[in-house]
Amino acid sequence: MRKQLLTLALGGVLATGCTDTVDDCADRTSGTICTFMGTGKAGLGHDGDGPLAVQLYMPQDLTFGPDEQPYILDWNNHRVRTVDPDGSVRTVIGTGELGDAPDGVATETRLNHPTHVSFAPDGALILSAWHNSKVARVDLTNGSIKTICGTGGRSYFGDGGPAHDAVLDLPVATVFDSQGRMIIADQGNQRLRRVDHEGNIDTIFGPDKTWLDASQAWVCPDGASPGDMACKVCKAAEASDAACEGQPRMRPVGFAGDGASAPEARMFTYFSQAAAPAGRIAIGPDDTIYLADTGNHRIRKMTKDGTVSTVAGSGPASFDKEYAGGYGGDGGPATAAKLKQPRDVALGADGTLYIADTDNHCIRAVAPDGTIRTAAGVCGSKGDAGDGGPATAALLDRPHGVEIGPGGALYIADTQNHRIRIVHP
Amino acid sequence: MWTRLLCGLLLMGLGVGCSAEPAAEAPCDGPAGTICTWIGTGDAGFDGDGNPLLQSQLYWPIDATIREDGRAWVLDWNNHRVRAVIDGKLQTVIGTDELGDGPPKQEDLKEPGADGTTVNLNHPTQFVPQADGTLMLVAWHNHKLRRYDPATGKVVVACGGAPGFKGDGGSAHDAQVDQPQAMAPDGKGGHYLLDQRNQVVRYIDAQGIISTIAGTPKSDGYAGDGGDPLAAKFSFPKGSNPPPGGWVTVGPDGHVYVSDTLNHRIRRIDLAQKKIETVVGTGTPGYGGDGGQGTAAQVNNPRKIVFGPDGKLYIGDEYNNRIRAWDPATGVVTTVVGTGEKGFSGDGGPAAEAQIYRPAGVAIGADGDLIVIDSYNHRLRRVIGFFGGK
Repeated sequence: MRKQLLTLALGGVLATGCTDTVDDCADRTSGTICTFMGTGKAGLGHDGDGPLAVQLYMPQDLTFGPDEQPYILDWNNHRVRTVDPDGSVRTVIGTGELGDAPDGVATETRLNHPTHVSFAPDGALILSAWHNSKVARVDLTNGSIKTICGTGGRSYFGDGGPAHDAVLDLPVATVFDSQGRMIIADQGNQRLRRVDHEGNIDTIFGPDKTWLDASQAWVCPDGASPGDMACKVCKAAEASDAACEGQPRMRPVGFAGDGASAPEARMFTYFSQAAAPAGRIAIGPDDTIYLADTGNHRIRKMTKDGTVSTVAGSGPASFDKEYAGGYGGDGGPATAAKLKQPRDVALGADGTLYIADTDNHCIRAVAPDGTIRTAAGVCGSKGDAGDGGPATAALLDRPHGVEIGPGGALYIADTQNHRIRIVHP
Repeated sequence: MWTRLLCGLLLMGLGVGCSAEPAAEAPCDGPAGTICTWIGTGDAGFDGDGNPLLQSQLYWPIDATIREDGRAWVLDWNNHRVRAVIDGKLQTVIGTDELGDGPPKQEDLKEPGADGTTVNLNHPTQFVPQADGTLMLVAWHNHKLRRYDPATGKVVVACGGAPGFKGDGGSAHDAQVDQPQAMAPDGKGGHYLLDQRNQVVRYIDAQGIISTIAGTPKSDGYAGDGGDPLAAKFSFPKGSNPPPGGWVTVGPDGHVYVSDTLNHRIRRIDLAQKKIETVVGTGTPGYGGDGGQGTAAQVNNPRKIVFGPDGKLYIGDEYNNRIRAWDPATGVVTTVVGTGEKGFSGDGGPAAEAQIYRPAGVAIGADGDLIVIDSYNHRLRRVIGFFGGK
């Protein structure tokens, strides 16, 4: 009630109340950073309010749709929200309650920590319902949601068969290639998988279902060590193996495959019940896939012919799960620079690769010539500051998402500041 | 920029944020049975610790623990924290700004444990005082019990690991549970544990040995009334990402009571007679039967249950937006809080005329107060002198 009174009282004088959408970041010169959405405080806020009045809670990412609206992954509010043309925030998917992402009406489904939205060639919204271990399709014209990949179980199963019957483990993001095939970053399974035009799924980065290599460097969940009874070896296709029901699984974690073909490639993206989102992907016009190989502190790429290489980040030549990454190398070749748990990548129109260098609290950019720089934030310093000034003087707090919006603006999911920030082009 | 300035000016002038509901500054007072907001602004979120209770944000609080000496903790569910009430302010004692399972290097897996404020949580549900002065955290979506020592602030994992159903007959420390929701001390050093996704009630004895005492592992349904609790079935929310459900408590009669959420029943287990039966609910969700026998009354998604000092069982009747009470002496059910209409209203008036919104249940407060866990209003509310005061 008081809010309404306030708005009324102010209305006559100022024409806008606190809950109206006001861009308070007047300086739109190139390289200026502003808050696009969020108050800086963790919370839910109220749909219908403007983006600067509404609260977010650990936003993971955002994607612009063909309608040029932003779709925000409001992670700890367990929903996807957008900003309508009239400047009001609206929930598009999820009630906020926990659930198994049932099919039906998108605003009535129940999600657990969604991480990513992409758009299919036909304009449908594709949701990575991360902790639901499902990929779902949302028809924005009628507001319906339907699972298209994943049973909701968390395992590795189903390659060679229909995607709908496959089992994923924390699908964190999707992209579409030039042929319209969907590629899924299957985080917990340490793989990229692809759904073809017939609706069948296969692995395109990482070992296929026949993989079983006890000598491979690997990690057990929940503090167990390799060799512990808890780390009983189960076949890679263990979802069909009753003996492995509920058992920790071997994951093909590692760092391998640069210069080789994708079946030998290994990544390290977090898994198990307590995993944090990691390992999102982007795709270029030439169908090169860019992967934030979070645990290896590198950005990898896989060209159309399946050749893998590192495009940014450095570290031990062989897999070392203790390697913690770092910061360094701006101004030099990106492959000599250090990153710290990068979570997301995005491609600019000019071929610049933007990296959410999450645990360095900054956004890095790799120019087409391979040189790396910092595009936003002060690497190594976390904070919540700098709106209205140059992006490279601003402070971020564990940004998990990066996106290029209409007009070329750089959008940042400034996760622990509970904001979406924008760097004007 | 001027909007920020404007908001800042208003903040200074009025003590409220732009999107915050007005905080009641006056202490709540009134005759016994008056309801007031105790903690929470009504807006879901986390605005930091250290604010006065009425200016502190919560997000779907799921329980509260109040010790006889008045020390209190809030289970701030979707903020993934346990927060202590200290000098009229909230202070996080377990949990961080992040979501997860333990500290980064998992130092809480062995003694001396990790500082609580380094321990990431994922949707904690209950905080249970132990005889030795520690408290056991039911770390629901971490599939663990974590022991907290208020003297040191340290947390150590006491039970669980990966989700699963394992370990009966052995040490609870090495057992697997699957989204444990609640636990209840038996007064003899043991605890009953509601193991939600396993669809069972387990028992951890005073020596730390775990067993299953009711329900059919991993099989939900409704079965078994009149018979052996181990042949019975419960229906707690299942699936890969279920909402919280189910609860267990021990009555003054020594029997074990189970809130059988999706069967819309409260069931009683007589372990000596090896018998389970329904004491509240017909099995059909709905609202009805106040003033009559519990077995003829309807509840809708019952959540937390707990006995009051008056010997009655208090039920968080979630989808009825009410707190119900069942008197084991007479078998009669009544409504004690809520009009049934979801919403937020009634502070300063009688509790039965107030609106609450999907309450998780109640906690027994100090000084005879009843604490309502008004989850979807993001508030804890207090019914003054409900139990007659001191």
